[in-house]
Amino acid sequence: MSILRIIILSVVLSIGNSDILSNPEYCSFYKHMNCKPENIEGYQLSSLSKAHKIYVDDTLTYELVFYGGNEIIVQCCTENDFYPVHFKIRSVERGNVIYDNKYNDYLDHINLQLDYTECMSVEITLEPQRRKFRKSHKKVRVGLAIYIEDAFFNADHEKNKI
Amino acid sequence: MKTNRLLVCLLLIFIPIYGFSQQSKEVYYLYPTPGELIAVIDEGNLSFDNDLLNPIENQSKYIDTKSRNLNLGVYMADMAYAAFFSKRTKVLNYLEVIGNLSNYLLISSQIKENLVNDFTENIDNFDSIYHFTNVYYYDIMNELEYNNNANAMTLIIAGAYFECIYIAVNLVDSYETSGMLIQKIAEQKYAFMNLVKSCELHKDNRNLAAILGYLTEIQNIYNKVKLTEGTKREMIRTPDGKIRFKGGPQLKMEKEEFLSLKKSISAIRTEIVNNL
Repeated sequence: MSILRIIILSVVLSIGNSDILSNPEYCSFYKHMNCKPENIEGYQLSSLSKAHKIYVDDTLTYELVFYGGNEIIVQCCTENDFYPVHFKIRSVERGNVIYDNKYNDYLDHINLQLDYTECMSVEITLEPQRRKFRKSHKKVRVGLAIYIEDAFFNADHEKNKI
Repeated sequence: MKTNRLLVCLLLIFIPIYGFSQQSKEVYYLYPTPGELIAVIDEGNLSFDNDLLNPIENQSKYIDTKSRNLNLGVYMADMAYAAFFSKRTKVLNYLEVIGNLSNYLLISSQIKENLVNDFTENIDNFDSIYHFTNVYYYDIMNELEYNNNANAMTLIIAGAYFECIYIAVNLVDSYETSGMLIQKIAEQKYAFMNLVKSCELHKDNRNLAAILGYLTEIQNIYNKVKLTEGTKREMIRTPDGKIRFKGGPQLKMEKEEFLSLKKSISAIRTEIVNNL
């Protein structure tokens, strides 16, 4: 094989494997049906929602502020073949895990409310059941959808008319 | 010989792509929009004060990238604040300024067109206008992120956060009588912590290095705001399957810390809006 062929092949392989030319449709994966909790009546999708692509066994960590007093739904999702999604919620300041879905049958969402505001990290890993997918070398779409109760978003415009 | 050297070079170049990236641990910091931030702070009962907004006439002062992006964030926060209080004319004025300043960013014209259309079609619906201020901000941030323009994004977020906190601290009548609002201001400690971490990732950029100085000043004040131990956190599972974390530590901002924050944030904000 000529040097030129090796170079072309290497460049094509590396670009194909990177995000440079990949379609950024994964950016809105948090809106995918897998990321929609069963009952979202009374909740709205928050701007804190995000999606990225990771390899199986990598950990994707999002740090965000959970504002106290508001009911929120944290939904972690991925592509069908890569379930279950394992996620932990950890207090950033204290470092302790306050929730681990491993102890809740790997349920992909949690509907929670904190009394007080706290900075939390949501750590997401994929633990696909089938060996074939556990050995996958491709990046997989992962989404974090945060739904917050309606009342949080709705400005009281009557009150606000000054 | 040449062939071998070339192969070694290729291996060195491409090994990180197939090797190290799979070991990476990625951390992303997420921020609420200025509109959401104002909604959070409003739980402490905000009011509208026109004098706290950055006048649109100031836009002529923003002739460099840093001031344009920082003040784009400032104006976005002002627009969200005006929209939250149903100030239609103000919102429309800010919409124009934001459109002008965002022309310098590499974002698609589709986003801007959508915004103008959405606003014009829903001008009488305050809920929609408030909603679209959030959507527009979010769309811009998303596009900047995926265009790998983290520098611009961080400057805009910083500008928006300085403005939101500036508005909030200046709406406090007195420390003693504004307990809830003070509490909401204290809770922004975490958002600033994340902003400093984001900024540090890109501090080789001189604009961000400059803004990191401002952020560190605010963070140093917030670092004095400590968590106080309340009741032990309990996890309660409600009959409808929800989980409530009852109790736990709470932030407490002392008067001295509040006054110090107010002084610093006002001085920083003056420098930003006047491009000093």
